[in-house]
Amino acid sequence: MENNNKKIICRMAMRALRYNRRRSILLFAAVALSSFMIFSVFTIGSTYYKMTRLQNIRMNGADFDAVMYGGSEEQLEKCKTDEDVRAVGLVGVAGYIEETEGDKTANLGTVWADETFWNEMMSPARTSVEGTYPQEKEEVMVTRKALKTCGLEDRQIGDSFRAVYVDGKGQKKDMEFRICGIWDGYGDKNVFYISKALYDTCGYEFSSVVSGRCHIDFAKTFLTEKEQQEFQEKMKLDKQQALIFTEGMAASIPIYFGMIGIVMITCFCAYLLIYNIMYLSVAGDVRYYGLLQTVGMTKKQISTLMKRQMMILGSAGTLAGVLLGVAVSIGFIPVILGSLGINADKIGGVQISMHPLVFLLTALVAGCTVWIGSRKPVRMAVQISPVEAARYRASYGKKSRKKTGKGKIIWRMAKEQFLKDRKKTTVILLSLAAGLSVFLCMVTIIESQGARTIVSNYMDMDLVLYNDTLKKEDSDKWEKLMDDRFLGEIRHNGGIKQANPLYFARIDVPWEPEFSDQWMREFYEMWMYESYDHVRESYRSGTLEDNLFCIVGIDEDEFDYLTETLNTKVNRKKFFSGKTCLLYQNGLDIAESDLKGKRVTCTGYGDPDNRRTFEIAGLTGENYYMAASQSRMTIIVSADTLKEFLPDDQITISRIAVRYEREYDRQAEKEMMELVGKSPYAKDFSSTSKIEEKEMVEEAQGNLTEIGICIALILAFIGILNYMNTVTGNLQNRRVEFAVMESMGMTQGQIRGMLIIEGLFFAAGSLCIAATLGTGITWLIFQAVNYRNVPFAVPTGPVLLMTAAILLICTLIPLFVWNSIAKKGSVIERMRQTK
Amino acid sequence: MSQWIVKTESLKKYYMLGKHTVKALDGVDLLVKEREFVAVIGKSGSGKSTLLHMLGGLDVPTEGEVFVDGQKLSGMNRNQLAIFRRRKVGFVFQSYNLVPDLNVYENIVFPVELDGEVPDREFVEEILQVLHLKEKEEALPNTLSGGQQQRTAIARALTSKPSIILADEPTGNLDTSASHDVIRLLKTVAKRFQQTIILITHDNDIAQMADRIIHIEDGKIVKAGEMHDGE
Repeated sequence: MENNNKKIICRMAMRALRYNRRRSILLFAAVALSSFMIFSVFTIGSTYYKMTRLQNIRMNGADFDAVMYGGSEEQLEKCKTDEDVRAVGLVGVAGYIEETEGDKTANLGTVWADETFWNEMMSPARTSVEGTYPQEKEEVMVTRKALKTCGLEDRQIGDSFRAVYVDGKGQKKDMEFRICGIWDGYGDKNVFYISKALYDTCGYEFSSVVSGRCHIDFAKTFLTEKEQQEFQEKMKLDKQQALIFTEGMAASIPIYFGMIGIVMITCFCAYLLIYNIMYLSVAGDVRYYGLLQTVGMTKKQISTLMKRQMMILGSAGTLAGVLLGVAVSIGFIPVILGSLGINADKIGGVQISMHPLVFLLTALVAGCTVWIGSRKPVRMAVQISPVEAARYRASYGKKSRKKTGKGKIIWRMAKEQFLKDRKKTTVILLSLAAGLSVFLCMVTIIESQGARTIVSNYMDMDLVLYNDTLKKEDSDKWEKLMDDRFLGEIRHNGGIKQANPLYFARIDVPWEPEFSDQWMREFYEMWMYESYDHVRESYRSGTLEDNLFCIVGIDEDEFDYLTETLNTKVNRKKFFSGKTCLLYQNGLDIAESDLKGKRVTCTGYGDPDNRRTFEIAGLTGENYYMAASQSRMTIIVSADTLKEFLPDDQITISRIAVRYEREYDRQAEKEMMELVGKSPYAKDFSSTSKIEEKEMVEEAQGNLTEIGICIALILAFIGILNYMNTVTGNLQNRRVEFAVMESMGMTQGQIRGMLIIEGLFFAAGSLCIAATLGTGITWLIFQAVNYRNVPFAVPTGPVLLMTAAILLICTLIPLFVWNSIAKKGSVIERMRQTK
Repeated sequence: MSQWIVKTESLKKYYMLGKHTVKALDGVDLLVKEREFVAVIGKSGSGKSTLLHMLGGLDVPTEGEVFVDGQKLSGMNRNQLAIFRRRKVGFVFQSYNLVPDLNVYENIVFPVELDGEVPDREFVEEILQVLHLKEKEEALPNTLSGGQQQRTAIARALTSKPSIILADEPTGNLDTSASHDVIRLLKTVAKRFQQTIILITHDNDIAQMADRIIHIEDGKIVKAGEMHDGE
C-alpha cells in the first residue's frame, strides 16, 4: 500500500540536521573540504599542466610536438594532410654570419621560418615583436642578444650593417643587411631570421637534414608511444633523417597518468574523510537510530532519512567547497604570490584556468564520494536492533577479554586507544599519510623541475669557456686563445675548485679496411652529401680534400666522469699509458661491440711519419666531444698521450670547463669573465654559464614552482584538516569516557599526556607509511613525469619541515579539541552527555 | 563518638532551565561521621544525586561549602579536585561508568595507577574474591552482566582505600536479590576497610540497610535521622 511519508521523512531529516548541529557542521565541513580538495586539484592541477606545457614551449622556443630533420616534398605533403597533424611549421638553416663589422668571430646562425612557424608556433614563446618578418634578401629579424653577439648592440630597426655571410656551399659573401624587426622571448635568440628570398639562394635544400626543420604540431594533446612510432613509420625517414618528439610530447602519457595518480590519491583522501566522519557520527548516534526503530520507523525509512540528510549536506557542502575553491584560486593564490613579490599580471604570471568541466567533475566526484562514503554507515544504522541500540556504548572491536597491560597507565591507554579499532586507526593513518605522500610527491617533483636540476653543463661544471676561432672552417684563422698559462691563471683564482682543459689537434687517420673504412662509410652516410663510394679511392690514396679527423686530450677528472657514463669498463692504466683510446660516436649507427678491441692508427696532420696506434676501448655519445667547426671523427686520449704524440704548436686548448668552490658563485664568474676580458682575443671567446642558464630556465618556467608549491601546501593542509576532523569526531565521541576517567581522578595533565602520546602514535604511523609506501608511490609518479631524467631525490628541507609540522599538528590538535571539550561544563555535566 | 568526615554548610546549587531557575540544592547542611553508612532518599529530582556530586567534587556549588576529610573543596582547582577524588573518594554510579577499553582488573586498579602507585596485588585479590570477580579479571566491561559491572565499580571504589564511598543508585539496574547482595557486600567491605558510605537510593528497602536515612525533598534535607556512631 502506498505510504506517503515523504513529507515527514524530509521534515525529520531537516530537524535532525538542526538538532545535531555539531555533527551536521562536521559533515558539511567534510563534504565542503572534500569538494574543495577535488576542485583545487583539478583546477590547480590543470593550471600546473598548462604551465609545464608553457615551460616546454618556451624551452623549445615554439609550440610544436615534434621536429623532423629534413623533409622531402612528399613527406611535407604527408605531414600537412595527416589528420592527426594540426599545423606544420618550416624552418630552414641557411648558413651563418662569420663576422660582422662589430665582431670578427660573430658566429651566428641564420634561419628562415615560414609563416606558420613564425606567426603561429613561435608566437606563444615571444614576448615582443617590433617590425615585420623579412621579405627582401637583405632584411633580417633580430634579437638584442643576437645583435650583442655580433657586436652590434646599438643598432635599431632600419639600421644596416655589413657582415660576412657563409652560405650552404661554404661560400663567403660580404653583404649588407638591414634590420627590419626586433623580437624578444624564449628559445634560441642567437640567430638572425632571414627572408625566403635569401633562403632560396643559400645553397641548401630544405630536404637536406643539415637545413630543413619541419616542426609538427599534433591535434591530439597526447600521443602514445605506439602512435608516435606509427607516425614515424608513415614518414618513411631515410637514414640521415630524424624525427624527434619534444620532451613534453614524448612523456605526455606518463605525465597524464602521474596527474591522474595525484587526483586519485586526493579522491581517496576525500573518501576517507567523508567515510570516517559518517562512520564516527553514526557510531555516536546508534541510540538515536535504535530509538527511531523503537517508535516504529522502518529500516527503509531510516535509510531514506539518512540518505536525505546526506543529500542536503552533500549538495550544500559541494557548493560551498567549489565556491571556496573558486575564491582560493582567484583570490588567495595571486595574493600569496603577490606577497612573495611575484607579479601575476606579467607575462608568464599565474593564469588559473577554470574549465566548466572542472565544476562538473568536482560535483560528480564529490557526489560519488558522499554516496560511497555513506553506504556503510547507513547499513550500520539500519542493521542495529532497538535493543542493541539501547545498550549501545561507543566501543570498538569484538574482543571479550584482554590481558592486563604492563607499563605506565597513560602509555598503555594511549596505545590501547591507538590499537583498539584498527580499522578507524588505519583510516586516520591512511588519510594523513595520503596527504603527506601527495606533499612528498609534489615537493619531489617540484624540486626536480627546479632550474638548478634541469640545466647543467658537461660534468655539471659552472662555466665552460670555448675557443670560437676553432669554429672557423679556415684553420689558418685558428688562434691559441687559451694556453697552459691562461689555465694556470684560472686555477690560481681562490674561487675556483677545478679547471679541466680539453686539448685539441687535427690529425689524419689513414685508410685501412678493418676500422677506418667501416667508420667512414657510416660517417658519410650520416653526415655528408656525397656518397662514400665517390671519395673512398681518394681517402685510400691519402688525397682526401677534407680533413675529417681530430684528437682530443683529457685529464684524469674528465676520464673518471666520462668512463662512469659508459656501458663498458675502461682500463685506466692502459688509457693513461697511451695504449687505448675512446671514440666519439657522432650519431653513427655502429655498435660498440663491433669496434671494441679494434685498432685505430693516426698520424700527425700532414706528418705521415708521426704515427700512433690505439686500441679502441669504448664509444661515447657525449656531445661535449663533438668537434667545433664541422663533423669529424674524434679520438679521445689522455692529455699526456696527446702531448707526447704531437708537437706543442699543433695542440690547442679548445675549451676549459671550470668548477667554482661554491656552486653558482657570481663573484667567481665575474672574475673569470674579467680574465677573459683581459685577453687580446676577448671577443673570440664564448662561454656557457650555469648561472645564466639557470636564470633563463627560471624565466621560462614562470611561476611553475609557486603553483606546484600551492598544490602541495593545499593538499598537505587538507590532509591535516582531514586528521583534524577525524580527531575532533573521535574525541567528541569519547567525551563521556574522558569525564568518567576524570571522575576517577585522572587529572587534566594526565589526559593531555595521553592525548599527546596518541597523537605521537598517529604522527609516527603516518610518517612511517609516507616514508615507505608514500615514497614508493612518489617514486612511481616521479618516474612517470620525469621525462628529463633528473635523478630521484627526496628534498631534505621540506621533508624535515613536514615531519616537524606533522608531529606538532598531531599532538596539538587533540589538545585544542580536548580543551574545548573540557570547558563545556563540570565533570558530571559532561558525564551526562550520552551522545 | 567519632568525628564527622563530611560536612556541608548552606550548600546551594541552582540551574538555569530556560528562563527559570531550578533549585537543585537549596541550603543543605549535612554532617556525616566517619565509618557511618548513610542512605539519602528522595523522589526523582529532589536533589539527592546533585548532593552526592557536590560531595565528590564532580560539580561546583552555586553557594556554600563542602568539607571532606578535613579538606575544603571550594578552594580547589580541577587538578586538585581530580587528585582529591582518586585519593579520598570512591564512586559507584548507577550506570557503572567503567572504562570500556580496560579489563576488570585494570578498571579496578585505575585510580591507584593514576596516582603513580603500584597496586597492592594482595589487597586487590582480596577484593576480587569478596566481590566474586576473580574469574572475570581479564574480561572487558561490555561482556559483563549488570551485577558484575556494578561489583567491578564497587571494587574500583574500594581499591584506593578511600575514606568515603559515594554510591549513586548502585542497585538501580539490578533485580531485588542482586541489589541486596550488592549492598550487603558494600557494607561488609566498607566495614572491613573502615570506610564511610553515602548511598543514594529511592528504594526504601535498600535504605533500611543503612545506619541512617536522610530524606531530601526539593533540594532541602527534610529529615536527617539520628547520627550513628560508625563504630
